[in-house]
Amino acid sequence: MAQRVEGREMYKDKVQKGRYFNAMLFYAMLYALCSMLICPMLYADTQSEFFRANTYYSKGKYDKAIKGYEAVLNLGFESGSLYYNLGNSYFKKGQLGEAILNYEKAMRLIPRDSDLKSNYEYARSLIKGGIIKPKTQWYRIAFDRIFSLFTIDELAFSLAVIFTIILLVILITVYISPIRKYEVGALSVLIIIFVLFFTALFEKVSVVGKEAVIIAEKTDAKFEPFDSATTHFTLYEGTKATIVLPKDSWYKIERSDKKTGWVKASDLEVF
Amino acid sequence: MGKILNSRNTNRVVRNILLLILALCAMPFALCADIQFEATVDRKTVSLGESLQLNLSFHGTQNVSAPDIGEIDGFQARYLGPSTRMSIVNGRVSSSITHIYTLIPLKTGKFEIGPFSVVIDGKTFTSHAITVEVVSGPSLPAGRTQKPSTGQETILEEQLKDRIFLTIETGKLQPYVNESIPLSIKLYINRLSVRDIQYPKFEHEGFSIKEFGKPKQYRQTIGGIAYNVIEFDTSMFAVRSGELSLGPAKIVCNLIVRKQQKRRGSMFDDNFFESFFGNDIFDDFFSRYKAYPFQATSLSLTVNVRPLPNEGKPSNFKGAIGDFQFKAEVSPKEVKAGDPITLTMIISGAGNFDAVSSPVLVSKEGFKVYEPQAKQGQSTKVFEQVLIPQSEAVTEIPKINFSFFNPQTGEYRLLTQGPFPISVAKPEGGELKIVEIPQAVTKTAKKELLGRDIVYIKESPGKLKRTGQYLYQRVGFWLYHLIALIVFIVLITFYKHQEKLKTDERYARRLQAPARARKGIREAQRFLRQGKSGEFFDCVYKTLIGYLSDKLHLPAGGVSIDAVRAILAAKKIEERILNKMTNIFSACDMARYAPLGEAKGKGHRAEGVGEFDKSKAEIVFNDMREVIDYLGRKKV
Repeated sequence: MAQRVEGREMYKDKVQKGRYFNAMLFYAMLYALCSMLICPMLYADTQSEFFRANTYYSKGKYDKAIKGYEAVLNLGFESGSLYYNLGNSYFKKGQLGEAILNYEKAMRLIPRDSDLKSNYEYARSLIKGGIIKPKTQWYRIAFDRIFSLFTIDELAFSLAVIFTIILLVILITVYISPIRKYEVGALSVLIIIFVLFFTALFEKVSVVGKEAVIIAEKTDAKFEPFDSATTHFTLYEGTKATIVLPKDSWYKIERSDKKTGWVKASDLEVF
Repeated sequence: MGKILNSRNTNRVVRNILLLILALCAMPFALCADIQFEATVDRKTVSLGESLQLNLSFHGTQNVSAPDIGEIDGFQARYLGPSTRMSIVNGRVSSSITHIYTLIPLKTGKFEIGPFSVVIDGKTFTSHAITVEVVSGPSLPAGRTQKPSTGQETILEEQLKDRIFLTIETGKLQPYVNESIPLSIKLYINRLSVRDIQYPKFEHEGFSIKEFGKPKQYRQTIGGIAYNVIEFDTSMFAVRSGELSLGPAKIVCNLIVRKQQKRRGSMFDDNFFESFFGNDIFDDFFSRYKAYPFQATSLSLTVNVRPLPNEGKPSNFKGAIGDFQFKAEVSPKEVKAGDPITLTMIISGAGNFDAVSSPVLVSKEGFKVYEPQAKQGQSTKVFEQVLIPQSEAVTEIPKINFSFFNPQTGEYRLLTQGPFPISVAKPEGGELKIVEIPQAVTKTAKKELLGRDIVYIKESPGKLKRTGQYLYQRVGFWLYHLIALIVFIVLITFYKHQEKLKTDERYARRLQAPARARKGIREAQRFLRQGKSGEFFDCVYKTLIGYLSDKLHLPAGGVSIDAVRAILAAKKIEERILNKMTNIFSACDMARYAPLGEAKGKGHRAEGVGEFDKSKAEIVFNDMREVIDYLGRKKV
């Protein structure tokens, strides 16, 4: 009897387990189905939202256009053109800080776009305090100029390609002995390129979420994170800075000339 | 005194002989010339102890005897003799005779010499009176040579103001702006030897001065004193109006002065050597003459420059001043459209050619006009201008105007040439092309001022992606790298293995030993199943020997059970295995070599062996497997 009961229990258990498994399968399938259905729906949504915002923009209704573009962002999608259009809308509205912020965001996605470059430069030229250009070495300038043309994804992809090429070169030279004499030269060049790309990618990735644009018309960078602290220097709307350290509602930022100071979090926007 | 007379006469005798011959021939013509009488002295200031030379010259005749000059107050006069001169200039013969007297001052003071009156052919000629001052002070030559040892000492101009001086003259003291006026700077020298005369220098602010030409040299008599004149001529024009100061002019030269020689302290030495040894070689030879730097300075001039009158100024007046003639020529007169025509404009006359600019065409319509090229001569300026008629409709070159200001009359004048009729034919090849200089095109492309604003929005959203997701964050990205790396390592290892098999025999044998052994075991099993005893033991033996030799890297032929035992014992192989191995070998040996005799004894070999060996062979087979397995595990 006991054995039977035990057996029934076991059966029950088995059935329950099966049900559980079935339920999981069902939900998984449902999720897959939903995501298959919803994703295109979402995507189509974003598209139509984008075009609607464009229409508002062309009619000069910049507030509505901004709302439209931000709706697309809120759906969890982004694109270079989206940030660009949003930047344009803010620019037309007179919010230089927001405009530059969105141009900067667009720069990360479509760095080679000439329209973006032109608008970005024009917007930056309107910054009141002017652009502080730190004195940098020529190789640093060259490095930045070259790698500013690539997005993070492009750099990652390039690295994968270079990595594959390096492995292939080693294999080929191992298997085909006559070309072994070129191995050192080819490999050193490839490795230098790899290191450069890796450095660029690393730098780009490490500043994501650590750069900020001043969106307040004018803000003071202070020596300490208090309102009463002494002002170190003044930042104007649209100036770019790097976040060093967040603390409560303050950010310790570093200007392009390596001067640091504490700025109220509400006066800037991190990207 | 007698000495100088002698030397003068010696000099003169030669000259006179020559002149006499000429004079004799020219005498008939000379007679009909007008007679002029003139009295000159060689200096106006004379100190006591010096002599003064008085010349009474008669121009136009030589037939005059020495006039009696009588007593002259303050002087003792002595007649030295006549000097005749005859010159033929442009076929005109002029002759003159000069009677020379020496006047020796007797006392200081101002004295009047003359006037002298001479009656020639019944006519009375009277000269001017000459005032001469006799001073007692140190005479000039002595003053010059007071410190001969210093050598470089300059001579004060003041001391010599009568014997060397400089003047500056302009043709007009009230010229117009840009009017060309002559300028002459004259150096007057009286009885001095002057060398190394440099071109004059002077202040000329507000004037543009041309370069000096070659200086003229002639004689001139001023106030009864005969001077050698060196004249520097040029022309100049004022560049602005107002009272402008010109000069003082300065000329730097060297005065040749005799060093004072005590033993020859005669008052006539100066004159004597100047006239007799005017020679550098003698100077240097005797070292008795010395060059003293000297600067002659003139007075300064004030020139009142008048501006050009505005009244009646033609619209195309460009500043030409003078008296000009204007002529224009056109060639060729028959052209095809697009071919060049040269317009030659010649301005001639007197005036400031620097200020003459090209005459202007009244109209340039229908022509492509190039800048005129100017060639400036002494009294002409030629402008060559290239015109290109642009179509066959052009029939004439329009009037050309040239206007200038005539300072003599104080009026503007307008000269006009043309119009010149020309005939223009159609160009060959239809379309007319005038080659433009590309430079002209780029010049017109001025820097464009661009408006600035942002570029319009993008029409398409582009590639929309999930916010904040990057390729490097994906698992697939890193998986790809891992797989690539694994594949790479595998391929490299495989290559290394292959390479070792090729090169390392020991490695290859060891590596292949288990495989070969397995193959041998399978074969032996087959023989065992088939009951082929001989082949079975043969196979077992070969397999084990092969395996051992591969594993221990021994030559396959030279494997003996004792050698193998010794090596394996050294490698700490269990005794049990070694014994089994020995048993296998001995069983094999027995089976391989013994059955021959057995078969003979029993009569039929195959069956007997099969029966006999079946169980034993199985043991041998299992032992062999065990040994191979053990050795394989043990990794010997």
